[in-house]
Amino acid sequence: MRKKLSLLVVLLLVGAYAAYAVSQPKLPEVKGCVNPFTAVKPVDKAPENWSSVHVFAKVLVSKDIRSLAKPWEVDYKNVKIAKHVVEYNGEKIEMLAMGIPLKDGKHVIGYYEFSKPVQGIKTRAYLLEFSVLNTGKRLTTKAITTNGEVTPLSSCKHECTSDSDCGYFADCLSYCCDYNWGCMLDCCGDCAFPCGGCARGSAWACGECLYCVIVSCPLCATGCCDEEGTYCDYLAPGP
Amino acid sequence: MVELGNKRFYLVLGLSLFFTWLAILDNTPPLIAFGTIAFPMVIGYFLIAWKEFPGIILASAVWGIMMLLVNFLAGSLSGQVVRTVILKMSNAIVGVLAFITFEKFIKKRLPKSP
Repeated sequence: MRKKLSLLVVLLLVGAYAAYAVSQPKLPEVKGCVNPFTAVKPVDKAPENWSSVHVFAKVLVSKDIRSLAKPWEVDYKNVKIAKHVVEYNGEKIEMLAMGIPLKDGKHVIGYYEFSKPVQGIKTRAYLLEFSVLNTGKRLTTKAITTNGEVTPLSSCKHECTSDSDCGYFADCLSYCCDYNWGCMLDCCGDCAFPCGGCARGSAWACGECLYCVIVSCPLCATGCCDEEGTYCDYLAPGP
Repeated sequence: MVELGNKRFYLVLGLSLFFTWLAILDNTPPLIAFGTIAFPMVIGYFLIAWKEFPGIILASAVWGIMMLLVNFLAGSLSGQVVRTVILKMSNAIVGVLAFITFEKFIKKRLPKSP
C-alpha cells in the first residue's frame, strides 16, 4: 500500500512539473549580442521582500538560474530583489531584478526577468566572479544565459569542484585558463634590470637576475590568474 | 647626466609605453598601468644609466614602491599587492648580497692579470 501511495505521489509531482514545463511559452532563440537594457528606459524601482522559500521556488523554476548554479549553492539569506518599471517602445513593463550571491562568497548571479520580451529577451542572467589580483579587485562575467540558454564566455573547463566529483580514480586539479598580462609585467618586468646588467658582463647582476627569474617572478605570477579552471586528472592516484 | 637624445632612452620609453598599452588592453586601469609599468621602467633606466650599482638595486626598489603607492592611491591595495612588493624588495636585497659576494670577496681573491 505504502509503495503504491509513494509511487502515486511521485507520478503526481512528475505530472505537475511536466504540465508546468509544457504550459511555458517557447521563447524565440536570440542570436548575436543583444543587450535588452539599452532598449529600455528606467521609470520606477521598488525593493521586494521575498521569503527564502519564495526565492528557493524561483531558483527551482528559473532555467537561467539553475543553469548557472545548483539550488544548494545559493546563499538564500542575502538575496536582494527589486521590481523595476521600465519603458519599452512607449509601453510600461515590469522588470524583476535579483542579486543572488552564492555560498562560496566568490560568485553572484544577476537575474533579470521582463514581463514582456524586450528584443526577444524574456529572461537574462549573469554569473559574476569576484577576484583579487595584484592589480586590485575585479568583477568578471563568467557566463550569460538568455531565455534559459547558456552562452559560455570562455573555453575554460570547470569539470569539478572537489575530488569527489571525479570519482575514485582521479583527482580534481585546478589550472589557469587566462593570465592577466598587466599583472605578469608588474611581477616579472623588473627582472629586465639585473638581467640587462648581466648581459653587459656584470657577475653580481647575474646573481640577482637568476633569483628574479627563478624565484621572485614565478612566485609573484601565481597571483596573476584571471580565470581558474578545473579538470579531472585520471593519471593521478585516487583519494 | 643622461642625455635625452640617447637612442636607448627612446627605446626604453617606447617599450614601457608598449607594455603599458598591453596591460591596459588586458583591463588593467590606466593609472595603475602607467604607475606600475611605464614610470618605474623609465626611472629604472635613469638610475642604471647613472650608476650600475646601486642603480639596478634602486630600480627594483622603485618598482616595488611604485606598486605600493599607486595601488594605495587607487584604493586597490590588497594582500596580493603587499606580497608582490615584498618579493620586489627581496630582489633588491639579493642584489646587494650578490654585489657584496662577487665584487668584494670573489674579485679580491682572483689573481690579478699581468
